[in-house]
Amino acid sequence: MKRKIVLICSTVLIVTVTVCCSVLLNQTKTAILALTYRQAAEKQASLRTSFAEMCDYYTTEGDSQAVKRSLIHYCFTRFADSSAVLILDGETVYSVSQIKPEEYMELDVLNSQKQFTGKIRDKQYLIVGSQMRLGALPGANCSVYVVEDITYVYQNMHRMMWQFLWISSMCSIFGLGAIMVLVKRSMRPLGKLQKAASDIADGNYRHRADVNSRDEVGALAVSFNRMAQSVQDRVEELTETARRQQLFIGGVTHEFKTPLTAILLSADTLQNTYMTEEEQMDALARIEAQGKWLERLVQKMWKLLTINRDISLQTISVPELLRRVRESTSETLRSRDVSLEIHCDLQSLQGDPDLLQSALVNLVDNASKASSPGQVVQLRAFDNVLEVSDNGIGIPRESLEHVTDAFYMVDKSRSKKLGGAGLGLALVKEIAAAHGADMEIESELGHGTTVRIRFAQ
Amino acid sequence: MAVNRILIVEDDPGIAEVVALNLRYVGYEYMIFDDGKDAAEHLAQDHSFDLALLDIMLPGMDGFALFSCMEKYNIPVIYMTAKTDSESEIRGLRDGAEDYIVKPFEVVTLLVRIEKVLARTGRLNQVYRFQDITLDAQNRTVTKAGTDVNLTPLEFDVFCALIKNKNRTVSRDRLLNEIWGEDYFGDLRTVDVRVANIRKKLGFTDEIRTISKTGYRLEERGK
Repeated sequence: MKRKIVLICSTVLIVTVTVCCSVLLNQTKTAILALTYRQAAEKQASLRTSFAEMCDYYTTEGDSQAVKRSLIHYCFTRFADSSAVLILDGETVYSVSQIKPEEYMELDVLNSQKQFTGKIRDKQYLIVGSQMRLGALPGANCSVYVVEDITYVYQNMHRMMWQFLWISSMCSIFGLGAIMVLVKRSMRPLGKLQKAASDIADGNYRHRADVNSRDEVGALAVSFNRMAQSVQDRVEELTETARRQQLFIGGVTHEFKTPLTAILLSADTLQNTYMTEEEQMDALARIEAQGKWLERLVQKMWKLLTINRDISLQTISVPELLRRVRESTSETLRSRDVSLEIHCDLQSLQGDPDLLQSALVNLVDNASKASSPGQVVQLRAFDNVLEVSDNGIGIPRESLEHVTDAFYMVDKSRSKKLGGAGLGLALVKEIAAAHGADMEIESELGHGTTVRIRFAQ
Repeated sequence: MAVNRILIVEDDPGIAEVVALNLRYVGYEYMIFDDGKDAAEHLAQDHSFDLALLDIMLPGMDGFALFSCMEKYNIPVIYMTAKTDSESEIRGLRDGAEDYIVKPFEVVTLLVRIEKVLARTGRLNQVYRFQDITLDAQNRTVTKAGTDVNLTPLEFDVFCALIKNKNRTVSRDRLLNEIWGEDYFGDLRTVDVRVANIRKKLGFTDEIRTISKTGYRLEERGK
C-alpha cells in the first residue's frame, strides 16, 4: 500500500512538474521570441522612417543622381547600426554583415514588413525588411533590412531550459523524498495496529494499540481497542467458565469415587479376608452408610443440575413458607441443640415454593452446622429479602468467593462429619439465579454468617 | 527384623479404616492421619516408618506438599488418590514417589504394591510369624517352636505365599502363576497336594482353610 501511494504520488508530482515546466518553458520561449521579433520590427520601422525623413529633408530637386545617392547613403548611416542593410535598385548601398537579406526574402508589396528567421552559417538570424519609396528618388526600388543575430536569444532559451530541468528534477526528488517520509509517517500507526492485532491473536489479550492521532487512523485505533477489550473480556469469561466446569467435574469425580472406594474395599475385604463376626458387621455397616451417602449425593447433584431457568412462578405466602422451613429443619436443629427464630415482615413473594423451601432449608441447615449447641439461628423475611443468619464459626475471607462453588468445603472433615457434601450453597445460588434474585453472603470468622436472597423489585 | 510400620494419610475415614484393617490382617503396623499438617508435625518426633500411603487431596497440607517431608525422613511414598489425570500422576512419580494408585483399587493390588516397594527399598520384613511358626523368606527356613521344619522348595513357596497374605484368601491360580510360572499347564491339584503336605508337616488342622472354588487362607484366630 505504501509503495502504491508513493508510486502514484511521485508519478503525479513528476508529471505535474514536467508539464508545468514544459508549458512554462514554451510560453517563455514564445514570449521572448515575440518580443525579439517586435523589437526588430520596431527597429526596422523606426530606421526606415527616420532615414526617409532625413532623406527628404536634405535632398532637393536640383541635386544630381550621384549627389542624391551620396546623401541617401549618408542619411542611412546616421540611423543604421551593424544590423542595417540598404538596397537601392538591387545594389547594396549599406551593409555590415556578410549576409545578403535579399537572398532570404522577397519584398513584393510596398511598405509591407516581412520577417525571416533561420539558421545561417551556424547562427540564428532574424531578418526584417520592407520595400519603400523614397521621396528623393521616387523611381528607385528601395529596400531597408535589419539583420539581427539572435543566437544569443536561443542560447538564453537553452540555458533557461536546462535551468528548468534542473529545478524540476530537484523539485521532483525533494517531493519524492517528502512523499516517502510523509507516507511512512502516516503508515506507521497502521503498522502499530497491525502489530497489536497480531499480538492479540497470539494470545496477549491485554495489548492495546498506542495510536493517538485525531484522524481516521486514530478513530480506527479507538474502535480496535474497544474490540480488543471486548475480546479480552469474553476470553476471561470463557476461561473462568471453563475453570469452574473443570473444578466441578473434578469435584464430582472425587466425591463419587471416595464412597465407592470405601464400598468396594469393604466388599473385597469381606469376601477375601478372615474377619471376626464383629468386624464383618462393621464392614457391612460401613457399606450401608457409604451407599446411603452416595444416594444423598446423587439426589443433591440431581437437584443442582436440573433446576432449569424457567421455573413456575406463583404467588407464595411467606409466613407459610417459613413455617414449612421450620417443620423440615426441626429434627436436625433439635439434634444439634440449636434453636430457630423466625421474623416475618413480608406477606407474599413471587417464586417457586418448593425451590425456595429447599434453599432456605439448606441455609438453615448450614447455619445450624456452623453454630455451637445453645446458639440461635435467625430466619427473616422483609422487603424483598429472605435472610438466614447465625453466630457460629463464620467463613474466612479467602474462602468467601469460593463457598458457592460445588463441592467446596471450608473445613472438609468437619463438614463431612456433619453430613455435608459442599453442595448446599451451590444449590441455593442456582435457585436464587433461577428466580432472578441475588445471593449475598456476609461473614466474619468466629462471629457468624448471614446469607441473603434479594429478589428483584 | 522388625514389623513394617506404614503411615496412612487419608482424610476419608471410610477408606482409611478399611485399608488399615487389611494392613493389620497381613501383619503390618500402621498409623492414620486425616490432616496433612498433623501428619507432618508427628513426623518431626516419630519418623520410623517403612512406607507412607498418601492421599493427594488432603486438608492442612496436600499429598504433594507432604512429599518433601517424607523425603527428608527417607520414607518411600505410594500415592493413593482419586485424581486420575496424567498430570498429577506424572508429577507424583516425577517428584519421587515409588508408586501411584488410583481409587478405586482392589485390596490385593495395594498389598502387592506395598510389598514390592518395601522389597525394593530393602525394608521388607522377610520374617513372617504365625502362632509359633517362623518363616524366613530370605534364608528360606521354616521353624516351628524353634525346630526346623523341612519343606520342599515348592512347599516352602506355597506356604510363604500363604503366610505373607495371612488372613487373606490366596487363589490357586495365583499360586500356580507365581510359583510354577504362567506357562505351566499342569493341574490345579498340584497346589492342593502341596497344601496337604504343608498341613501335615506343620501339624495344622484348620489353620489353613480351604475356600471352595477359590483357594486357601491361613487364618489367625483370636487376634
